[in-house]
Amino acid sequence: MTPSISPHPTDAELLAWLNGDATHSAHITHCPACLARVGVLSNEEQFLQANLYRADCPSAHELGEYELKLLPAFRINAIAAHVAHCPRCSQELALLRTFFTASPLPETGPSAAEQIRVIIARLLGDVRAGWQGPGAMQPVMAAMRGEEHKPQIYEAGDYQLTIEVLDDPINPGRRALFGLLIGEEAPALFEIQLWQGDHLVTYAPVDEYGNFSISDLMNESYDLKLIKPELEIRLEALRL
Amino acid sequence: MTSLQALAQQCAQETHRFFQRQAQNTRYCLELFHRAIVAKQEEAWELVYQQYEPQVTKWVLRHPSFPSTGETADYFVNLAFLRLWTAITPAKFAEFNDIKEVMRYLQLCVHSVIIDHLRARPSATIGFEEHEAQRILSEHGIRIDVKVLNKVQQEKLWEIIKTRLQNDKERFIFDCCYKLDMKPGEIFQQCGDQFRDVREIYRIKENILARLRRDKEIQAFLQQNAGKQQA
Repeated sequence: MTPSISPHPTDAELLAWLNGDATHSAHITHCPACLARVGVLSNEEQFLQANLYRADCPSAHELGEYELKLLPAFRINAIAAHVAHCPRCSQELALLRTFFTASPLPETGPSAAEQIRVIIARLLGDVRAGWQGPGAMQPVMAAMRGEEHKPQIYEAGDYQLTIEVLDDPINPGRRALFGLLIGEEAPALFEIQLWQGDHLVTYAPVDEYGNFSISDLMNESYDLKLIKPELEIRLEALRL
Repeated sequence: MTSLQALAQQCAQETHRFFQRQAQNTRYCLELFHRAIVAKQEEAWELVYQQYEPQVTKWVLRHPSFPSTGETADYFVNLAFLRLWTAITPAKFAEFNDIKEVMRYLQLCVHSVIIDHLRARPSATIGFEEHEAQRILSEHGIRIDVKVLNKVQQEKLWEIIKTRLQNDKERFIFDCCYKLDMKPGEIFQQCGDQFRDVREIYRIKENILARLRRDKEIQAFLQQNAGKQQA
């Protein structure tokens, strides 16, 4: 007895079989014509998917920048509207949040800038102009300097700062900065930094006697900062 | 100029304190990243890579989608740093106030390169039954050979196709099936109120494919751009 031959499935039914919604499975797997037809449908489906998948979606990275609030307003609005109706982008966004939650970053607490007390140094005068304030200190390098240089004296809260700029003897055409910091607390806790805008150009330690020096500097303007935990002495627009 | 090595050492200490949840001053790290990313100093970039590579590797391994990529962690670590290098503009970098924000962005780079990898091969999401269908086709010598067009060609193709979709239901089904890789069963599950049953969704797909297959402009476009491909 031969089995009854069922009619060929429609393309809709072949697509269902292809997508795992098994209908007419017995017929399809034994029918060369239907298998050939499934092959055509599969090619078409995969071609469309390979070339149009996520064509309207923002990139994963832009979606992430949206989450981190790093996008301009017009993109934020566009992506918010897209995510509201796109299940894949919603899923990816949820996945990103899961990833962030699973890989937490420590809270930074108050930023360093918030914790630091800043004192702007005030120029009192230069040593040779006759200023004879408390300490009347001079940097240890003073003996090596030519007569033409004038060490500048600054006051910053409980600290006094002497700064002198010379031609760099090792690097022709460059400048060298020498300084002395005197105050109640150990100067060695400080570090000197030179900044231009938001850019840290260079830095150096302050020794136990309060001396510091930086060489090989361009003849330009710098913001000088003497920093220790919770205190920053700032001398702005120091021209070398 | 500040020695890069000294800067990297300071940054390493800051980063260590950061991950130990101690208060920290992050100016050195920001400066190192600034030199690497904004000033494009190659040596600074190498130091950034050396310093953060172990942390980025941990993040790759911890990403929920990493196991389904079939790639090594190193592969994504390299891509994540490359993404960081190319994605941060000086203006964007200027918005980072501390190392936490830079680290968060680096995490985003890890996530986006993994997701990009998965987006490029949506077939990774096909289920067992579909694999079974493909196996049966393969056993009968029926080969699936999909041509991938370039971006411009893809956009042109979509411009043509969207004028061939006749109503909102077709546009919705096309988007769900081919642009979002949703199965008809999944579509019906989420939007069952719009369709009588899942068979209606298959019938709509059937109609769309038949129309595109008959369309002379589309066939000419495919012959011109994709050899023997049909759609």
